[in-house]
Amino acid sequence: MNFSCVLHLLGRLCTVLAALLLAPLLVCLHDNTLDGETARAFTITAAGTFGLAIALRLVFRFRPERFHLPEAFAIVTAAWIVFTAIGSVPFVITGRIPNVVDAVFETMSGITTTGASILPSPLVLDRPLLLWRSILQLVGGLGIVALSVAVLPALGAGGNFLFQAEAVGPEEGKLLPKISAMAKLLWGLYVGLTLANIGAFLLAGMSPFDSVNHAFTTLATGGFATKADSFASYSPTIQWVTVVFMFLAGTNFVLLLSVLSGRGKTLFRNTEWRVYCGIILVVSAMAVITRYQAEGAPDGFEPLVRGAVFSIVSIITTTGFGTEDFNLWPPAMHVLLLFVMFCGACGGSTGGGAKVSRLVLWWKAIGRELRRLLRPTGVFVVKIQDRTIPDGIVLKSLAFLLIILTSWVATSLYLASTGQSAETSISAAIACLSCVGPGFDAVGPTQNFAAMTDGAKWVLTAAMLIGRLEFFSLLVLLTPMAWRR
Amino acid sequence: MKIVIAGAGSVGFHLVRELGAEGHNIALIDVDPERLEHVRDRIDVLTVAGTATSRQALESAGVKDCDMFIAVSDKDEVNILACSAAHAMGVKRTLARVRNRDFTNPDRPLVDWVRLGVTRFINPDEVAVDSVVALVDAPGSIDVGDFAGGEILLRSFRVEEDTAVVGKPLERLRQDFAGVQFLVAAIQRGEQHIIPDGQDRLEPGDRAYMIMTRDSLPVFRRIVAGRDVVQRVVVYGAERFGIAVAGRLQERTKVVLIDEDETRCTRAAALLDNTLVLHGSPNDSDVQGQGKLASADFFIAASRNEEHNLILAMLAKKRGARRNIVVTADPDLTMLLDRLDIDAVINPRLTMVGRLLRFARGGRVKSVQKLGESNAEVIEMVVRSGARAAGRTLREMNLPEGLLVGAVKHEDEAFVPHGNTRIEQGDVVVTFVLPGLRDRAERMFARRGVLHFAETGKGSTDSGPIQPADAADEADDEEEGGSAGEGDPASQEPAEKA
Repeated sequence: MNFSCVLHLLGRLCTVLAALLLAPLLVCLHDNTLDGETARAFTITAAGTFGLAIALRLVFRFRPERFHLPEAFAIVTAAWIVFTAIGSVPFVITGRIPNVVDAVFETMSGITTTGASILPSPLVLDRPLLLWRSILQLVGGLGIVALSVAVLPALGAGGNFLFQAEAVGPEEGKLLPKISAMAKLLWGLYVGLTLANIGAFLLAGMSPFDSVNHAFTTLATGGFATKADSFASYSPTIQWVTVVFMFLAGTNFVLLLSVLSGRGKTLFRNTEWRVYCGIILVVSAMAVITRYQAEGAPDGFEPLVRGAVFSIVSIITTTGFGTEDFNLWPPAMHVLLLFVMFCGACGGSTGGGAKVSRLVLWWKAIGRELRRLLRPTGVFVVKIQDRTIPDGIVLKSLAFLLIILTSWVATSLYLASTGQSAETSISAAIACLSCVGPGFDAVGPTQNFAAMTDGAKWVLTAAMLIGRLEFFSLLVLLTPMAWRR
Repeated sequence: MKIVIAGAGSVGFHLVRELGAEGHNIALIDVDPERLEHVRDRIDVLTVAGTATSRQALESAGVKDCDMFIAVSDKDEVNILACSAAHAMGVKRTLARVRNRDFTNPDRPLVDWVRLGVTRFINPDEVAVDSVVALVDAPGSIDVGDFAGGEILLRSFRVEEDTAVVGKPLERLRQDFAGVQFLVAAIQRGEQHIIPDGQDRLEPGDRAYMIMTRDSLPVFRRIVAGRDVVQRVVVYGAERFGIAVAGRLQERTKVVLIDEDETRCTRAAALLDNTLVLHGSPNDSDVQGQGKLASADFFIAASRNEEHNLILAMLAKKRGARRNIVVTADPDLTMLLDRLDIDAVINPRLTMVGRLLRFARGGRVKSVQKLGESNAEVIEMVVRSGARAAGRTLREMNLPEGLLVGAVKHEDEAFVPHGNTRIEQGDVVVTFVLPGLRDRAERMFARRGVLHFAETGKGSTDSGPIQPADAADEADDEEEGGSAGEGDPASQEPAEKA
């Protein structure tokens, strides 16, 4: 491990963070609160971060020949931790979230696009802090390293390592020869979609401030809202618009790019995307049916369907917005929603979870094992669309399955030991590991994580990070081999 | 005709030998002087040492005034470029051997053949796969040829005892299977070749040549193999050829592909979605059980190891496979066919030579194929306007013995003709001729009645005036024909009026 490289690059990433910390000041400028304590908090934090950035870059030197995979993994993990630590400072300084554990939990929840909150209501925060939460989600959506690769001067092949260490999903999606160009293209699409979403919200009648915040957190599949009841009080139009953009954010961005370049058919041929749509349709239909059986349709079918589709899309994309309390849905739906939380969105999207493509991969791997049992001398390959998946990747995805299940069990176990109910523990664990946000029971859509013990909050903070980085990037640092010189 | 051939490998060698025997002037280009010497010692041919993509070699071979250029080296790119160069030097017909599927894919060719100046390309793998698939479609058959764009098929089979065809006059056979378009067109009995009439009978041990339409394949399968569907094919050898065969067959039947090498198996499994790929030897009882070798309709041995192929194919048959096919590069193996328990041998190179020859002979005849080792030939021709046969029934033509019209394709319909079938201009006819009658057959169908046919050439008045396009086409053909003085346009005019 070459610490000099890691710290130098961390310095570069902090420059980006310092710039981001200045963004909420625009709100202060607009609201004429530039002399207020929130503006001061952001200014101080930004200045400090910038100083740190300069210091790191001056003291440590970057030598590309020393930069390898272990360094890349270390930088990615370190970057997320540093961003969280510094990002939580304004909350503490302003005294809006005085407790350090809570502030870190809230920031990590933001930057990993989880959307779980320790606040009883977002209204505890003022407007610059609300925007800061949304900005954290926007940046975390596509990944802070992806952002840095896009905006910082070329890291050469090193950028490639970094990008891979942070990217989500089992496959790499590189369309362009240069990784920085690829990062720019993805960010271009991401920003474009966000702007489109802002426009759509404005047209549907949302206030400009809320439009910006919600667009940031929708495309990032984050889930932080500016109102206490999330999306429940918004008009049906706004809710449907949100469904569309959440759905898009959960689609593989590389696939969206190929649709934009005129190859629309690739979308409908894509196995992962078709399964993703299939799950949404089936689970929504089941939600509609079970709820119709339980309580009928007093307000007609549109609200029933809208409520079901909104919740399902919100959960499968791991956004976590709510229009209604699915905690009150029949128990069968709780079980189904737990599966949807675990499943997550498409690989290469901003969503979390295990990813639909891995689900497909596991399913096909099982099919292969069954065929092998019948024909032991047979040679079978796992194929998705026309691509043969190498055994190495199949194995890695199975290792991923084991890790995610182990983490889920361990986290739930710890939460239960702190006195939470079984349903709370199990759902809170997967809601954080998959970066969804709300769970069931004590952490349901209308509840929050404030009542958890400090220990539980730290554990869940770690769970969010490890889940967002898809386990391997972080766990690899726990092996001695990564630290050897 | 003057022909330049690039590439003196085994395909080039056989091509030179066949075309040379037909009296063409041939120049052969190859980089390897030793290989050229090998050819020169055996065949009267001009050899040029050098690469087929060099001006010096092409010019010394006389490409500038040759009629046809055939590139059959083992490198696709060299073949394509050599043809392109020959085209640029003025050669009208160029033939390239091209193996890469991306180039030869008819729906989405990677290159623009017309712009490159390649008249025709032939993919050796596809040609050989075609013949394997044709054998599987018609189990029990040996030599094969497809005519009239695949609508008319020629299959040969060995007449086995106690099958439905033995001992009956062919007339009876035709009555038994009335409505089915087939015809026993030639019989090989020992050294003797017979073009049969209705009274001849098939005897056990005969090799019968049957011509039929594609729709009649199921009946053929019943006559020869006793059942009309192929359910399971086992292919041994997961190399390029085996994979290509399995890939084509998996669309119509269950296919099992066996190989001892795991890497090859994995690659094959990735390429073939509907084939069961087994890793192991066909001699292994696990592999036999899982691949259900005993119930296979075909065992196709297509590995690189020739001896292995031979032995495994025979063993497979002992274990219950109904028929076996051996793929081999050894031309002498065909001679062992009747001695060993092997139903058919496919030699990709010879198949390739056969296909190349069909195009090379071209001209007024669409294609020619020899029947087995006999000298009898199958000639496919388009009936020209004004040909003696045009507008007449077969009976009226009074065809000589040893010349038989086996099948006719009129517009889109293929059928086996009888005495009252009227042949029209534009029809495709497939004829069987014994040695010495080929020229006569060509005159009858493919050429206008001229000179010594003029006195009986009434047909020409029936078919009306010649269309300009047709005339140009014909002139082109005659030019390629070269030596045929009687066919030259100037002498046709008076004959036409006569």
